[in-house]
Amino acid sequence: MGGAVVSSAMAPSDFFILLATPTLDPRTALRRTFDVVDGHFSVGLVMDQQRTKRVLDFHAWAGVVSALFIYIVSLSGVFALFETELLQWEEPQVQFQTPAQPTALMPLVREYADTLQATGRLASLDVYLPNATRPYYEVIAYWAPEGEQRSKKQTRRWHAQTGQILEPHEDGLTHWLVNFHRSLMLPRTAGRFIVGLSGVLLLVSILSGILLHRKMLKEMFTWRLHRSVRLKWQDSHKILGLWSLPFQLMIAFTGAWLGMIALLLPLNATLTGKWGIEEIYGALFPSGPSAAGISAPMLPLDEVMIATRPHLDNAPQSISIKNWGDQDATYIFLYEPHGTLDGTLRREVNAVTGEIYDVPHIDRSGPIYQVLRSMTTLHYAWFGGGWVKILYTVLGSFLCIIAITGVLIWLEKREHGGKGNAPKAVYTMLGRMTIGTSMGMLIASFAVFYVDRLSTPLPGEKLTTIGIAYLAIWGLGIVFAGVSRNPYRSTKHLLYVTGAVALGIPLLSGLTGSSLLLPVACVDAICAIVGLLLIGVGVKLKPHRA
Amino acid sequence: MPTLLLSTVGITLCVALIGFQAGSVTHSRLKSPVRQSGRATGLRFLSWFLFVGSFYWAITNMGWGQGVSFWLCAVAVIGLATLYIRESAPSLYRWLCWGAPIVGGVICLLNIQLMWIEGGG
Repeated sequence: MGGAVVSSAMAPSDFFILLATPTLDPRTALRRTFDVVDGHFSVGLVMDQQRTKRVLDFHAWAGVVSALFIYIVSLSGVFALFETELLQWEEPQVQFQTPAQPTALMPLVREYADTLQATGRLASLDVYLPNATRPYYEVIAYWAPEGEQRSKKQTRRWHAQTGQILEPHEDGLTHWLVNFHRSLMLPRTAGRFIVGLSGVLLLVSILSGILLHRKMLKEMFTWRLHRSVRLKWQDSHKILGLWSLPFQLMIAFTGAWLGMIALLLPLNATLTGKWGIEEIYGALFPSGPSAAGISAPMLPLDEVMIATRPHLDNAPQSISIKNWGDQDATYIFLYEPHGTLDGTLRREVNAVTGEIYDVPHIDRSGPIYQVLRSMTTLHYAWFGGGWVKILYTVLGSFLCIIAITGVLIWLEKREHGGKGNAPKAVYTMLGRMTIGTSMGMLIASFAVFYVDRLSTPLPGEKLTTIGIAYLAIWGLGIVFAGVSRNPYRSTKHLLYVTGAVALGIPLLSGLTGSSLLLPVACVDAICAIVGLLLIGVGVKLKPHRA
Repeated sequence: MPTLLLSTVGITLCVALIGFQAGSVTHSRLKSPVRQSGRATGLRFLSWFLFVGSFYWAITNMGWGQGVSFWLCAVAVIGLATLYIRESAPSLYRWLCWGAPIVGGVICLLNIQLMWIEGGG
């Protein structure tokens, strides 16, 4: 408190009078802090009210400024959760069952590695084994052509049953939806930083919100859905925020971390001089021992995989191969996070002698690596399977609703509550823009499923087509909400359209020859459920201010 | 049997949260099903027991990191879903008050049978 005390000096007896005031909650009175200034008590009562008002103003302004940005990142994040399922939905050529007995992996990898080594330097290979959403072998090779220093990323996929090479995947729907969340389709570091900023803004909003709510337990059970519009929005805003507070804090913190770490760590290293950039990258992405330069035959990957299985009682998710064809070649088997969040479950094997290293050459047990892995696992729900993804979807949707109701409460107070100095028309237009931006993005996110399936762009143009369609539909949504006179009615219409678009996705999927595999069916089912929910909300919504 | 296990955690939580909510009806259209203070205390006690039990079940089967994360998410979603039903469809909520403990009991029994008798879970 100190010099910030506002009220005038007060006699000690006044303190007891204040405590005994019937209108003042005794618990509130006891919470007041008192300072002794020149032998007088200065009461923090006025200060408390002013502080609460300041925090409320800060929460409101911080929220209003950042709400749409947070909404955009959150909504795209909900779609990004289903990256692997969407990838399979997008590509009919990989919609087949994972074979019980897949074909041998070693001949495929050997042939590919030998081809690459014959024409350049092969730095490493990452082999992804078939699973329910990726029923094929996929190898990502980091390879530099002869005469070049910088490695390029090369990908090849094989049918897990027949070993046939699959057509290369062209980035489209999934790439757009996922990378719009990760980097807003901007250059990687800058884009991630901007998205990370939304996490910081969300954290600020959450913390200021926590400071505002002192009767959390009571508010957690109060949801007046049958009262005025403002009360309904206020209660919904509070109750959704309070119940999902741990999730919101986690997603904001991990999002901020993942977005800003790429820029802040090197910056910190440069400013403090404690750690060089190379040391940081070495700790985050350890590369292991370099090649001895002596050629040696590689052990069959499939046999080594079977030999290591009893050590972990689990099938690996992927295999990282270092120093292919060298005496110091290594197979690193990577497993799904099981019981933990850091995902460091791995087994290193010498690819020439078959020796299992008890002490791994590439140490990823350090706290930095574990924290980084835990952040990613938590943020993208890479644990607990489909159940956790569904929970994250619901909670991510709540975050979108919290952001939008926050703006709507702010506007409502100004449009109908006598607050604010701007003309009423400004708030009306801001309200329309909020509805257009939020609903337009939702329609665009579902509409690009149709663009992906029905359009036939030139090779290499698929992502551009998807992007243009996405932004155009989103823009149309904003224009529609902007020109509509009744925002309640336009919200109803937009909900119907979005619901119909989402509900039509299973039909589109069926008509364009999608299989009934579980991941594909899951995407269809979720779209149908969301479509029905949106139509239901549209039906319940009143066409005017109640 | 992760689905059965997770649904057990979910249902246990559901029963616990319904218990908390039934004892804290304030502005709701629903009249509190618990009017006697003795019953209310008992209900609160049972709710806390199930609440802690579901947490224990989650962490023993999923580990600390995954268990706590899953449990917190489940509390939020189930808590809000039951609360929404309480406010928007009180008659359905009354059915839920009776139905959830019965379904929860059946699932718990199934799960216990799997874990202890067949060694699954």
